[in-house]
Order: sequence, then C-alpha cells, then structure tokens
Amino acid sequence: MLSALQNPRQAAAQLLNFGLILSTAFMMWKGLSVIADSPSPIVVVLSGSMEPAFQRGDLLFLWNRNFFEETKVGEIVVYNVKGKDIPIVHRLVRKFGTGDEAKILTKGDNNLADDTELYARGQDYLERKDIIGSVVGYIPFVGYVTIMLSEHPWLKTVMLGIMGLVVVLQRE
Amino acid sequence: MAVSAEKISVYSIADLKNTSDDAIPHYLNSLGFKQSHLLTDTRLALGYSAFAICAACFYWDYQFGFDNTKYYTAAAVALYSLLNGALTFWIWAVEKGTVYIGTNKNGVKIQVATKTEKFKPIYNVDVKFTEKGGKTSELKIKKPFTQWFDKKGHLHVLPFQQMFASNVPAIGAADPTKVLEVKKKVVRVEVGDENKTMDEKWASLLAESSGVSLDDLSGGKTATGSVKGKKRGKKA
Repeated sequence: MLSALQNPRQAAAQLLNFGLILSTAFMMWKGLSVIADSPSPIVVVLSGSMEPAFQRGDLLFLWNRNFFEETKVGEIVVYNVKGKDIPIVHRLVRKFGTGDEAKILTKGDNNLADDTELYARGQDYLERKDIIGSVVGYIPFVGYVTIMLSEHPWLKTVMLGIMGLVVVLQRE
Repeated sequence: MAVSAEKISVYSIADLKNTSDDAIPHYLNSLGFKQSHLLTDTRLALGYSAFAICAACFYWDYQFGFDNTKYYTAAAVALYSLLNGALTFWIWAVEKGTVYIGTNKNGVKIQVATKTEKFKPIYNVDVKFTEKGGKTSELKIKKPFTQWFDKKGHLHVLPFQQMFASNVPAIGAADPTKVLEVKKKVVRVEVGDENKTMDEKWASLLAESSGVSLDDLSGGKTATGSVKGKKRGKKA
C-alpha cells in the first residue's frame, strides 16, 4: 500500500491514524492521572519486598486523594525518594501528626528493617507529598511484560518499530 | 484500456474497496468534476489539533512535572476528548463513507459514498446528486468486485468506469462512450446443473448469498473474458 503515500491527503490521514492511537493512549493515561491525582496511577511491582502480598510483575492501581479520610497506618503506599526515579511500594507502619506535616515511616512486609536505609541521605521520614498514591486494586503478573522490556531494552525498539510499521502500512 | 500496475490480494475486502475507492476520484476528475476536499480537510484539522494538544500536554508534563501542571493537563484531557468525540461524530455521521464530492461546469454536485459488508465481495455505491436548483436525487449501485478486478488482483479501469457510466445517468452523459447498452435478456430453459461450468456455479452461489443479480456477475465474466481473448490474440 506504499503507493497510497503519493496522495498527500491520504498520507496525512494514515499518519494521523498512527498519531491518534499514540495520543489516545497517552491522554487516557493522563486522564487517569488527573482523576486519581497521581503522576503515575498504575505501577508495576519491581521487587519482592512486599511478598506475599505482591509479587514481582503485579500491576497496582493507585489513588492519591484524601476525600474522606487520611492515609492511615497499615495502608500500602507507593512513594518516590528524592533523587531516585524508581517508585517504591511499601506498607505505612508509623505516622506522627496529621495532614501535610505528618511524619511517615514505611517498611516492606518481606524486609527485616524499616525503610530509613532506603530514604535519601539526611531524610529520616516521608511526608505526605512524597507519596504518589495508596494501592486500591491490583492485577497479578500482567505487568511482567514491562519488567521484561526494561531489563532487555532492545525489545522496546523492536516492538515500537513493528507497531509503527503495521499501522502505517494497513488501512483497515 | 489501462490496467492498474498495483496488485492487491483479491481475498481482502479492504484492499478491494480501498483500491476501487482510489479509482473513483481519478475517473470523475477526468470528466471535468471539480473535487471538493472539505470533508477530508475537516477530518484532518480535527485530528491534528487533537494531536497537537496531546503533544503540548506531553511537553509540559515532561518539562515541568505532573504536580505543577495538573490543571492544564485536566483541561487538555477534556479538550482532547471533546475533539476526539467531534472527530468520531464527523466520520460516523457526516462522512458516512464518502469518497468523493465534486461539482461540474453545469453546477451539478455529485457525492459518492461506498461501503462493503464483512466477507461479501460486493461494492455498495451510493451516489447523490444536487442540481443547481437544489433538487436532489440518489441512486444505489450494488456490484461484485469481480467485474473490474481480475484473478491476479489488478484493477481494470475500463469495466470499472463503464459500471459508473452505465448506471449513473449524469456520469453517462459526461462520458457517453463508456455507456453499455442493457442487453435484452433471452429466457433460457435451464436444462440442469450438468451444463453449467464451475465458474457459473460459483457465480450463482455468490448471487444467492449476496443478493446481486446474476446478470451482473456474468457481465463481469465477459469483461475479463475479453481481456483474456486479447492476450490470446497477441500470442497468435
């Protein structure tokens, strides 16, 4: 169907199909972010530190609004440490104070010690704004694909390439 | 007459339809119709502005982070779904499969929409005319793709254009040489299936399942038959 590309309108329309697939996926993600008030409303568990609750590869859904009650001790939360990009899924075990000034301590169910070791240098506790959401639902194992993709980056390039080619070449 | 260089898979309804759709503007433009791209351009404008919003959203999210820009992001999401909804509405309710809109010197506006059903190799063409005074008329053509595609998947331009010229009076008037006279049907006494060739059996099966008259199918066969005849003539 490459000859279709000779007509500029048709080429533009086919390119648009590809663009709309990408942008719709992105905007759905952003819509979910806005609703859950979380920069990353869906995360994949990367470590076994919360076993047996969550395994590597589980997909978690997060909620980051405190409409009716505060984030409580016992909730499983996802937080970002300053200077580190990887979100961590651990349980909230201690909390002093309320609201934005509360001092929060977390620990992985499968870890021996609490998370003070994992926090940034000089940081002894988390604040509410470090948390990007509490876990409200999960799907086991389906996130394993993304672990595969991040551990073998060349797979990403291959997959994107194939997807792009298929969408551009077919008109159905 | 010309045969397309492009070869498609004759088993793909989408390929058959798209290739035929592409041949319509070529033909009608050659008859002095001036094509209007209004529908396509509106669709492209809606689609690309939605895409532009998404790109802008991606940029500010990447540059300034989620928390600093979340109200802009919420607005962008709302606007994007609005534009995308408008685009879907446009394709579904306004375009309705329209492949060609054109006006000729006499001010006659012609609008051609096509569609196919899944797994049925029948081309449904819906032609709408609006005359200068605003009088509209509409006619539907339903023909099997076998009339203008050969076995190998080449589009034969002559039978395709003849199909339009003979069925649509305004096109026929613009291109009288391609109008085929309707042949008087001679009532045959069917002796039995033994006399039918395999092709004829297939044709009657297709006619039965798709609701197209048998004459259309046999008409297609004579058209391809004549092409074969020419080839043989060259060899001899």
